[in-house]
Amino acid sequence: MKYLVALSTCLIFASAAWAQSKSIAQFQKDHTTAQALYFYPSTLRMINLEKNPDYYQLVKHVEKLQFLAFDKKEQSLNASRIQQLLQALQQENYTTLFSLHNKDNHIQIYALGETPVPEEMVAVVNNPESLYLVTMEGFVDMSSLLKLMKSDFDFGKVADIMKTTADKEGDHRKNDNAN
Amino acid sequence: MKKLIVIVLLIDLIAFRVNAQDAAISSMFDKYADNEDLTKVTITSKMFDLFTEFEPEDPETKELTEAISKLKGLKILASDSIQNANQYYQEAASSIQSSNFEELMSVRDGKENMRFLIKENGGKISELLMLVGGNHKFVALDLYGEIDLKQISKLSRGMKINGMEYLENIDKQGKKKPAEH
Repeated sequence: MKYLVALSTCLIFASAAWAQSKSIAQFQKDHTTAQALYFYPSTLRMINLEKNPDYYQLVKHVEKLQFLAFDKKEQSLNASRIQQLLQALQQENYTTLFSLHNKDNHIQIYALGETPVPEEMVAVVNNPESLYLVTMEGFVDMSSLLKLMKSDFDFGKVADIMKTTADKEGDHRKNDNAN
Repeated sequence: MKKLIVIVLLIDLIAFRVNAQDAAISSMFDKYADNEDLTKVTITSKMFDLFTEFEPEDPETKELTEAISKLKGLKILASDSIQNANQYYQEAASSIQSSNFEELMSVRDGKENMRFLIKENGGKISELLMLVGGNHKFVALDLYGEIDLKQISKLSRGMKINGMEYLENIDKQGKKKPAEH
């Protein structure tokens, strides 16, 4: 357990030093995260409980993955502040790869750098309660993604493992605040 | 020099015609941009470009990634829980009247109306439009770039993405007639 705590602390300190979007870094300074998770190649491989070779290939070029969650109410994050963040990302030359909008969800995925090999990818997921910022240094192997989508690979299971970790992080924070 | 500029402009215009979304379809999607009843999805050419980097070992995935890398954009408007789904379908169908789409297939049964339309340039399909209207369900899917129907059909099979199932047999259809309403 002590080892895991030490490892997590090292990872978080190390992550503070890695190059990431200035807009995201500034946003992180201005607002307190409800959850902050960092994944490195070893942790991304660990999630693959089924030891699926296509999953290994999928994350092979991902160097770092950062997941930040913000409570919109707690952090007074209104539509204007989120729009400001999206504009700032575009000013940093992040270009849109994908967008999805409906009544409750607004998802945008951006890439920095010349495709087909982006230096960094950012996903902004905005729903009525929370704002999630996912930053990925490196890129995913799209052909492996295609193979996994056509197979019986359980993406939900992987997401659940990530969510379990995220919930624990959130609980720690709530406990810290309570104390 | 002027001649060269004109030639370059013409090439640009032709390339734009091949790669860009049809204006009528584009305005249809713009019209619903703020409509909260619908889910709006956009995938840009940069996303499809990501597929060019990889060399899959198995021939089937290689064929698929090559086909995907030639796409330039995908836009979807969809909902499966709207009251006036048929009205959306009719509006979308009427907005393509002025376009040069040819009908590939249409299906009408008691539950759903479906239309598949294509636009061709120099023997190559440059745009595929799919409209679905039914009981509380509306889907408008617009795919543009260089489209290989056989590969799109293969891609749709087993993808478990809502709406993609309609494209599974798209490669088996021959062109029927220019779009009429």
